[in-house]
Amino acid sequence: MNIEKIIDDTKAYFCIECGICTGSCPISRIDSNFSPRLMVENLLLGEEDDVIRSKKLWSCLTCKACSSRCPASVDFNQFIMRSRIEAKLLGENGTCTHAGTLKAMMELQTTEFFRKSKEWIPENFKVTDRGKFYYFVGCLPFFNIIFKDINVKSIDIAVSALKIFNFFGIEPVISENERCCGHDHYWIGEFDVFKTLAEYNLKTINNSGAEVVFFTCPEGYNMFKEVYPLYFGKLDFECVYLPNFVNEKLRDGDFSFLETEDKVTYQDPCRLGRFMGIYEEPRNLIQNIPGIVFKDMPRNRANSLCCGSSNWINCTSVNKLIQVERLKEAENTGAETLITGCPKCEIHLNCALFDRDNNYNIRIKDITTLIAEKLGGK
Amino acid sequence: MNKKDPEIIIFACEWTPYIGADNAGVEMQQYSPFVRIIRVICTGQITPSNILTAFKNGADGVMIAGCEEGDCHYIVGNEKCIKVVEETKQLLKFSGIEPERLEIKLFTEVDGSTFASIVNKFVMKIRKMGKVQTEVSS
Ligand code: SF4
Ligand code: SF4
Ligand code: FES
Repeated sequence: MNIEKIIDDTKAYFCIECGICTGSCPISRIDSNFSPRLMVENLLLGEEDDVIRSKKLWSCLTCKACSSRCPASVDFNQFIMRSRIEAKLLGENGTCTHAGTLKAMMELQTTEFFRKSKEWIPENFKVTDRGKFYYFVGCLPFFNIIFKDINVKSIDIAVSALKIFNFFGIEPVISENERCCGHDHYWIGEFDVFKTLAEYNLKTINNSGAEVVFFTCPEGYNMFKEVYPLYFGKLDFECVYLPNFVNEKLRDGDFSFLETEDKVTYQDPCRLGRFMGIYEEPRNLIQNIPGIVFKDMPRNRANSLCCGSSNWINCTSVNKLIQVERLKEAENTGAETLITGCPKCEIHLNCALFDRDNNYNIRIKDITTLIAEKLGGK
Repeated sequence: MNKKDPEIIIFACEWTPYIGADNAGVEMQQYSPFVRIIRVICTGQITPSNILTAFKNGADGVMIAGCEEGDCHYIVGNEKCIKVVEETKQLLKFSGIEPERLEIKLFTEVDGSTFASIVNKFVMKIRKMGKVQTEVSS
């Protein structure tokens, strides 16, 4: 096993046993048996079975709440990811959520014959096959089918993106050959699947002649911007999170927002916030919508609480409690709408919202959808 | 096996259709050699991931064989499966695989000839559609 390499690469040996990670971890707060500090210690002390063979290995959300505060800069996310690769080799596995549908759906995309249908594109929108600007749709069409039962219409995000593109006179490339970004397989230690998906994506985008690739999903954005280059070298195109692009247009005074009446708060997705450091742009956009009342939750920006689940594994009552906690926190700001920047936050928080045991007076909306609704005159 | 031969997976519930498959053997009914039958306790056990994985691994058609409506031994397993099939057809459609390649058939009879003829009909349909496209156009 490559235990020593894991320790080396993640700088686990620097750990000073302060326990800040466990104190920061949303899972540990509810499940006292889960401790990132202990995992690091166990691996250092050679008790690797307690880490690699443990079911707890699969409970980590990879939300970075721990590593972003670690005084010794131990990269706990890498630690988990690498340990999972070892665990997979030993036949260990997390428990797939949604009966494995999402995982199977992503693996279907590793086949040569897979073609992502463009049927979701409404007639009156302008898109193209080749050009300078590429829109990475990602898994939205599939989420839209799988999560319709909890009233999540993920495809609205993609349609909203098209509305934004066309508003600014851009005809984005949308490709049938695009695959899932590989985010989830990367984080659950199935490196081969991730690599196959990434190779398809790079080939597709390079063939389209794109110079700029736009994202509405922070996971895809993070994968392309930070992970792909680690394995495939510098990319031939620029990656842009679509709301950031709109934010620049706003700053340049290219357009204005329509007036609205809404009280909102904002959920920082971990991939966007703690991973990529994008905190202010979405807030700036929201606050520039005339008439909107914005109030941050007590835990915001780098201290934001994860939406409770990631990578489509190990969703338990612990995860549900995290979501309930977050929804209550959002409600307590007096907000009627919780804005988030990630399609998965939207799904996970809606799942808790859908649970009729609790009555909430809040709804969830993606920031791309919000922008598209409120685009005003130029 | 010829490269052009279709590969077809049948998930068969053990209470009705699987008995039919057994009887087909006893009655020496001939049916297409391109099918592989996977026995399940009830169609309610089948998830979209089972079907998607079959296609990922090269299936050209997937048939789900269950018990008649109102006759599921686990009460609503087959009704649940009908919903699963609907959802999976959507997922297939958005993946460039014709949704007609997936079918659910509910069996009322356990005799071998019924099983053989239903299977043959499905195989014929898939043969007409050909293999799941493999040419590369990217
Ligand atoms: S926060 Fe860092 S140094 Fe402190 S216990 Fe956790 S891994 Fe070790
Ligand atoms: S990444 Fe998040 S869930 Fe995982 S140990 Fe760190 S704080 Fe806990
Ligand atoms: S028992 Fe046959 S379908 Fe449920």
